[in-house]
Amino acid sequence: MAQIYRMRAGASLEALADVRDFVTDAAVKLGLPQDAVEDLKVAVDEAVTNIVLHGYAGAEGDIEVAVEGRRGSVVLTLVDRAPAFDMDAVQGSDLNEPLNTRQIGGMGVHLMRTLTDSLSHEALPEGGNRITMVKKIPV
Amino acid sequence: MNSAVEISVSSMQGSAPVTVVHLKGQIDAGNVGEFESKATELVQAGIANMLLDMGDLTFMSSAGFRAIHKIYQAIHPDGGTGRLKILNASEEIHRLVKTLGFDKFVGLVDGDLQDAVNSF
Repeated sequence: MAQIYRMRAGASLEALADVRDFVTDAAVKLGLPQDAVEDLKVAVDEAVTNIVLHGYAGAEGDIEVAVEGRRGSVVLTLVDRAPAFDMDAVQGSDLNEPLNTRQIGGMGVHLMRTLTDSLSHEALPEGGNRITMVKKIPV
Repeated sequence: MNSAVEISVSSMQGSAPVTVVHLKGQIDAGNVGEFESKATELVQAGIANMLLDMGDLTFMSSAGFRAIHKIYQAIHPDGGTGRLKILNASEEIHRLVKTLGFDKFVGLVDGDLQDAVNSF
């Protein structure tokens, strides 16, 4: 039977370390190598930060985190009950722009996309969002 | 449990004075304010060169890079390189520096602290 690891975090930046530790632990148990685990740790931190700051935006709420192995990959899902958030609409800063003229910020979603093998978002019909990140387990 | 970062500052001398900011622990959006405050204080005091010693930093998210970006803009108001460097970053932070295109502007140095200071 597929192993699924679950936790519920309060929508607060204070929960970031616990979520990172939980995801790290689960990903290692599912066989993800260390460098991929580090990538996933950053990606989930960025996602949870966005949910807290932009999704719930100060309101109370929960974030459900699930990590499972599925067909040679580690699949991580985050479910919240915040207003629908369109990740694709986020305009990151231009990473080719020199650092002294580049706009500060806007790197979080870029890291989520770059550090995962796939990233998707859906607005849930009952309200809230589901973000799904996949990291392949190398053979 | 909150992420924790310990920040200490020392002044060292190579061919130029270098302010070394030692970072220990983890930096995320929840605690980056401490790093930003300390960096702002140093920049406002007029330091010319900064070395971020990340040998004991086990995690940094884009929040930390946002702070580094601000430091860079304060230290290099007209662009260029050479006055802000990172020492002994973890493999993952190395990867992020390159992914975010910071490597062309912020030096990455590995090895001995004094050698890193001498490189300014």
